[in-house]
Amino acid sequence: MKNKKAQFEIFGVVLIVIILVLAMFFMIGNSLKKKKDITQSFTDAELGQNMLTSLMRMKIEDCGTTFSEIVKYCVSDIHDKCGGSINTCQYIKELLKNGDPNMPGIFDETLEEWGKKYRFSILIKDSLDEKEYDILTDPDDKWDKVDGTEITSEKPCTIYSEKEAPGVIPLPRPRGSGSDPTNRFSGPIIVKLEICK
Amino acid sequence: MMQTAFVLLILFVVFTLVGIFYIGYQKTGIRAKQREIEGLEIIKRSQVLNFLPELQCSFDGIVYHDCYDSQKIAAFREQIQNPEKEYFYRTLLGDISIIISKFNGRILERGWTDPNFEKYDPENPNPQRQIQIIDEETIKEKDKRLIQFPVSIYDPNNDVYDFGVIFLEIYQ
Repeated sequence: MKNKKAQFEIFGVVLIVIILVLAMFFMIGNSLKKKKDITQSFTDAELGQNMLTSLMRMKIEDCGTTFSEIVKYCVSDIHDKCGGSINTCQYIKELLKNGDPNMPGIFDETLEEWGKKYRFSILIKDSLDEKEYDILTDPDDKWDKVDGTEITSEKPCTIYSEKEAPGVIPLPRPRGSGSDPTNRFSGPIIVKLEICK
Repeated sequence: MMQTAFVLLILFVVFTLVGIFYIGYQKTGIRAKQREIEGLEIIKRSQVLNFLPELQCSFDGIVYHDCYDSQKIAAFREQIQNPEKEYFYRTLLGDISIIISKFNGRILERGWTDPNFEKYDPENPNPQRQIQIIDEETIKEKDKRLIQFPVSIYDPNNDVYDFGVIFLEIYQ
């Protein structure tokens, strides 16, 4: 009888210990969960759109016009506006991301410095297959002399990465000669800046 | 008798451990909450700055978001030298230091090269070109947190926009 009583007591203590161990695992797990700083979350949520809006208005001294206009020149195959024989699309790439520390790109001095992962693209919809293509990666080698690399951060930000709300600005496609002689592309030009978490 | 005392002792030890872990857990929770409140305070101040009509671009009475007028920035910098005005803005914005950088996109001069705007360098600050609503003693006493956001900087003389970044140092 005494034995059974002792057994029950020990059983009770073991039960309490098991519950405590489980509670400890739960608390340790909770405290180890990585929580993003609220200030960073707030700024990152608006960073893409703020960055694009500020870029679009920016006057480019070399081209005598705004950034939004040179994006249209790039899409329309107009390459004589930014001085010399430089391809306008290539100029955009070098303006935003340049490997040369003496001539830093805007994203080199901002997003890269701040440790952000990003992808910048200028998208056009192909009227044949209704798919979106990034002009800057030069699909089918349509724009000669454009280096086919993406404008993205050193740490990769891929289509599969988790992202903040992207900055998106639609621009109307320019009309007139040189705009799209083969009528290959339809819809507006979409300028997009994605910030990855 | 001994068994009961032993069980009671174990229970006492167990409950003491539970108490210690619970207090530790609550402390972590309180610290996290405090950081969140500080973060919200920083966001609030950055939003107040973003909507200050003394700095923002405006056309026909309509204010443009995320745009700062370069002439207004220069005027504001002068206004802050007045102790009464500095006190007013300190009640509005708290202890802060505003650094505005303008990016030059020209091929040969690319970078933060405009002499009228500060290139952000926390190691070598230039108080003459920053807008400081804080005194030197407070800088030493309080912790600093940084927030930055891209903006347009409008030059009303030439009617052009430039790309810029606002760096906001908030002292708490």
